[in-house]
Amino acid sequence: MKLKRLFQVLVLGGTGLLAACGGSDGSGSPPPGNTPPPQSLLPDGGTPPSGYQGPLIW
Amino acid sequence: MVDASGPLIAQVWAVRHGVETGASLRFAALGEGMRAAGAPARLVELASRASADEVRHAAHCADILRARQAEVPPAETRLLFFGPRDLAPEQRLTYEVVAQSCISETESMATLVTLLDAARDDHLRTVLQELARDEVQHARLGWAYLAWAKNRLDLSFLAPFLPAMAIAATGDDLFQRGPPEADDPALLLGGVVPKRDRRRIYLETLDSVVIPGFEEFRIDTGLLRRWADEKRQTLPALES
Repeated sequence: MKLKRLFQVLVLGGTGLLAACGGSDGSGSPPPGNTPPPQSLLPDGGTPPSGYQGPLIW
Repeated sequence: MVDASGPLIAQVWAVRHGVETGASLRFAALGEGMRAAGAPARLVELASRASADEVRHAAHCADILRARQAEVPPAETRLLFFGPRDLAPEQRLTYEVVAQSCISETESMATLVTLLDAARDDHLRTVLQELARDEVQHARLGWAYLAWAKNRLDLSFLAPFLPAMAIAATGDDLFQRGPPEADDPALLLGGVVPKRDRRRIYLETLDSVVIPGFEEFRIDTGLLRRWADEKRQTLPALES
């Protein structure tokens, strides 16, 4: 796999993956009832990035 | 084995150990966030699987370090998020998925492709093949998530944050001058891309994969393009 193929494999592969897992937008079942959206979707305990200098990539 | 570059090779694999263990924590949290947001079960499952994959990848990094008689660093225990905390919940989740999968995992795939082309050692090649197979899914997760999220929120909020994501992905080191041995082509045999090549691969992947990917979702990439151009202009000085 060469770099120039990565767009096709990753980007188009990803969007195709969603289409394959359910309808045009792939949405799963909505939350039951009239549940309001959650106040937070990520833990509040996430450490701020200050002081982190390392990479996130290989 | 490249004895003269051994310490540098070990240092890179130690950093990767931290990258993998940190990513495991983030993918687990992102999967829970996707579940709470009502994302398709397939995406939640992919995030959960990615978290487990990263633990396995860290174990491979540790094995390689031990084989080189190098110290294995402690696992990353901090759950690091990089987006502003005052974003709305779905925006914050989207920020972190994009930073992790659309940028970091996509860029890592480019590095793995380069390393696979150069690998001569059977064990290293086997490890790289396994990692590449997994990282394809980790990167696709981000693009699949965007395809789902585009119908739920206005993705244009991402545009001003893209340069910060690109900076966070590289860390502080990539666009700094390194020691001469960091550019040694023989590093490839130890599973390390020479630094000057990493810089160019990073920018080329932004240009040919990441930026066109965002543009598929009509996200303005002007600021990210400008950041990449500025970095590209620094390359001659870094490589002189």
